[in-house]
Amino acid sequence: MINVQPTVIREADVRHLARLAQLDLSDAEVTKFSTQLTSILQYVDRVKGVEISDDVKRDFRKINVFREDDHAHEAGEDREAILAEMPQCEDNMLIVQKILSTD
Amino acid sequence: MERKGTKTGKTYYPTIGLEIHAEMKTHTKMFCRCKNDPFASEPNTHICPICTGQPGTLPYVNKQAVKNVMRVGVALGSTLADFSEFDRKNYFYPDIPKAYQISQYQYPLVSHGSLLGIAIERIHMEEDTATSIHKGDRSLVDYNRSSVPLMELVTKPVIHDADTAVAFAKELQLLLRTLGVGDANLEKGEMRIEANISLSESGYFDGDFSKLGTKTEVKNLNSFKVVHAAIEYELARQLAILEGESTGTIVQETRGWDENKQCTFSQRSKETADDYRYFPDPDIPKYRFSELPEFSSEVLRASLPELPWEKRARYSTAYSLKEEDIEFYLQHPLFDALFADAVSTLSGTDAYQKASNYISTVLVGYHNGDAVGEIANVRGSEVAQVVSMIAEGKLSSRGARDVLSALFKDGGTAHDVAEKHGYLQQSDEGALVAIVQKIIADNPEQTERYKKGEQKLLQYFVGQGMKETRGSGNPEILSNLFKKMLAQ
Amino acid sequence: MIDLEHLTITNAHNALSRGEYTVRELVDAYRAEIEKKNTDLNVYTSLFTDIDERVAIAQEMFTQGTATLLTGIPLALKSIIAKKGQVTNASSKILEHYTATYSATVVERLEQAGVIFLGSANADEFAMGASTENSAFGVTKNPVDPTRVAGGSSGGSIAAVKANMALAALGTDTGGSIREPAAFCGVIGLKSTYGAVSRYGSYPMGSSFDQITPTAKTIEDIRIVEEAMRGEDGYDMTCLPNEVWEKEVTKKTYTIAVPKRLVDGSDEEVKKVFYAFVNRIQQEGHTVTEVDIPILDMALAVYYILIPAEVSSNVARYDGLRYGTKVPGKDLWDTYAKTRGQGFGDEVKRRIMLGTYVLSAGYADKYYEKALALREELKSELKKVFATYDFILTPTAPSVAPKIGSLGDDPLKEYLLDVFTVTANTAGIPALSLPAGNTEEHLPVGAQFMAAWEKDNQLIDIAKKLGF
Repeated sequence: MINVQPTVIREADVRHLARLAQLDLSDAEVTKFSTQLTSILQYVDRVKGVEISDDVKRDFRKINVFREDDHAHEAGEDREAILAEMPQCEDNMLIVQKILSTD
Repeated sequence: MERKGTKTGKTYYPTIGLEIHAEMKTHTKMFCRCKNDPFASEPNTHICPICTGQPGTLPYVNKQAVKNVMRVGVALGSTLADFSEFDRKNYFYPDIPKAYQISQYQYPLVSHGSLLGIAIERIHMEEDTATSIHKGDRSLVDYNRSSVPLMELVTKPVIHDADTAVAFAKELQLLLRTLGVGDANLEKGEMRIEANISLSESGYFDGDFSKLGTKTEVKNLNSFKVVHAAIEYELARQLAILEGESTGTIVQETRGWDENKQCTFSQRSKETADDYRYFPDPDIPKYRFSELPEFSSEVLRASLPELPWEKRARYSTAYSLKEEDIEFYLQHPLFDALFADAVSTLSGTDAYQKASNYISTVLVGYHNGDAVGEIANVRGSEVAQVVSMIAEGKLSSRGARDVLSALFKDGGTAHDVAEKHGYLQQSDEGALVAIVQKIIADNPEQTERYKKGEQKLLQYFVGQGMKETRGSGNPEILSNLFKKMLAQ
Repeated sequence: MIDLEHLTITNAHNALSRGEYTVRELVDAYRAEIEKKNTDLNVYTSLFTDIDERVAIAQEMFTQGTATLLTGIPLALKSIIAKKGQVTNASSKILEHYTATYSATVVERLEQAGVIFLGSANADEFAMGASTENSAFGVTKNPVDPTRVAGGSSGGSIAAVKANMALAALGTDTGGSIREPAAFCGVIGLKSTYGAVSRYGSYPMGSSFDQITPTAKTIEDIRIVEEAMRGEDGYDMTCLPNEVWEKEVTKKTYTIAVPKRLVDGSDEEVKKVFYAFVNRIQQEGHTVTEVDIPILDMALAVYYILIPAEVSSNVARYDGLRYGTKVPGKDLWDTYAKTRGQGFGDEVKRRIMLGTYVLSAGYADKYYEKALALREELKSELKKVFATYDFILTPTAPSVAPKIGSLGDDPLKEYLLDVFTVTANTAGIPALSLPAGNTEEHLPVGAQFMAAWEKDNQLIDIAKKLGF
């Protein structure tokens, strides 16, 4: 086993992760998650010290699966149900806030 | 090619790498059984729980889509993967309903190979995004295109000028069409070109990326013209910055093309950092293509049609066609098939070129113009017949056009049409002698002048003969007859 | 009065066939129990609106002679399994009012057989947890002792069976989510070999770990439901081929390995019941050997790296745009962040951030890649164990059902409840939790059998031999 520095997740790290994951967090949450993530990561840190041989044999129980390119299903089979779940539509298209900021 | 700095006199080496996305033509989408029809007139028609990312849905890989990419790879002389897998590329965007795109990262289907001598890095398989329309403060999303199979080809950074970049893209488009794997229209977004552009002061790419200058990625280039203009513009822009002729610095960024102003512009489209957190998609088992005979390069190669460069060589060697005619046939499969049919019963360079000429100019003219009829009415065998009849003196070149026009309109055989409409050339001297005699008798004044030495009047007599035979007289024979009889 | 406490699928089927009672009477008997207990136990988050239609269809199947063993059998459905036209919200605020737009393969198959799904059973939000305390709609109480949790994540499904609020139930098991609550409540839970049952329609937590799983009071009921669900599906590429289930794998007596060092980390009261159970097994003629399998020490760490990684990607699609609960922000990005920040509970957010961390540039090789490699090592070590032994036997959980609220604010404490169960999911092998007995305080303790890949039938066989 190699000796590894225990991982620490600072509040800045939590904010960065939250940004990557699109999560709006309160300051209190940031503080709480910083402690909790640190404790969990320090537990899983035990994998970091394990030596892994370069040539890990990968065991795949199933390989080479395909679907034939035929039988397109009828247009709009589930369309109504899917559109019905969309909060806002215009001309059967989903409305979202403007998605390109091209300044 | 190299550019000289006007201020410093330094030499700059342009480096261009292309990333080209192309939609694959299949019946169904990449991971679901929705019809692959991104241009359905009605939005959100070809959608299902899978391609709209409903909770709990799973992908199921379309075999044909994978095969199409592998066929492209075989055509390019690439290495086909034995082991391959699909990965998730994670990022948020409304046009990507799962918040990850299924793509390939470490193990693309295809590596290496080349096209027009340009080295290729890789080709991988992924799924297309939905389309969005922007309307004021909102965007409208249509999922018809969501999860349509998409290949991405990446060249090595070995292109040095806009012409070559465009030529490469055009050749790829031609290849995809020839293979029948994609329509690849840029205007429709079926093929999308991104160019990575940089200028280096220390020479061309030799495997050492650190040699290259800071690159910009220019996107949304929706025609070959724009590809060319954007590369030229971007090289000039970068050069001006490097030379200190314009302010600013070159930053690694994505840029778009402004068609009105004819310039590139900085495009900050995503606010999230570019950390896609790729990992193998656990919903899709891995592939070992060596275990699948139908994916062996031998089998795939056997499935390929004649490739553009093979056809070029053959048409040039076997038929001595002009380069522009060859390119015409490569771009127009319908006329190419006609040509192939026609020449199958002809022999001789002259005959091939005549057949080609009638197809690539005359028939195309009818096809593109407002002539009545359709090209499907014209069989290759009849084009060949027309060429043979000309050689045999049975048709004049004018008669040939008349026959082709009639064939285009109503179909049938060249012989029947020529006979029916009286387009056959009269080469029978006996039949023409009487006409010649009559014309000489009717034109005493001209006869007199000819005999006094006004030789150019021969054309007048031949013209009268053509008129009298309503174009079916063989002008050569008429000319000889007039010469002979006027000398008497 | 139908004796729901001792009712099995086969008995119910026979009674329905003979016309001793109708499908409606059977369903109404369960509905009466639900009416009586649901407010207190919080088992179902909603009842389905098509029960009466389904009852009529099932009764008609009896009339037509097309009834199967499962026709008219009332089942609970975990809130993360899609049933078209019904609210399927994964016990999450972010999907609170989401109506599924399609049915899971298992729902289609079982409804085809005539099953009547009664309602959506509470669970930890998106199946993340071991207590159902992470449900946005409150904890499910343990029917054995309502001051304790039912366990999780399939707590609602398990409690429904235990409290006679369904004859059997479907849950899911990603790291013990059917086995652990089964142990806490004293019923049976089977996690089949990975790929046995189509996952299509089960809201994923860890795609390479998840299984849709049956729970019931008897092993025969489990077998009936499991066999009706499993098999290849054109909507799940990871399903195993049907042939693997045709092999005869049962034996007269079995060899069983007990990883003693690991087991002895359990609470004393659990060990006591467990070792008594081991004695009983030996008395029935099976061979039990104490072994040490060091790689098992790594399983939980591997699990809590790979799972968050898959979670962070799997739940990314919940953004309120196409469906679900949207919290509008000042622009699109703000809407994403607010919707997800407010829509997800703490455990989901924790796992999203953990997963984002272990997959992000610079960390993936230290965590994710390492864990993937260790996962392969775990499989190969287990292969060696199963070359010698038919089963590995452990307690299902190291403790009895915790008191509600006792897990507090330390997520790791809850994770450690999974120490015995995550191995099966990480390796993809089948595992079965059986009620091993009760503690002196009358709290159930579960014993878990793990078997080699595709030896699911062997698990069912040992359970039958042991009288379950």
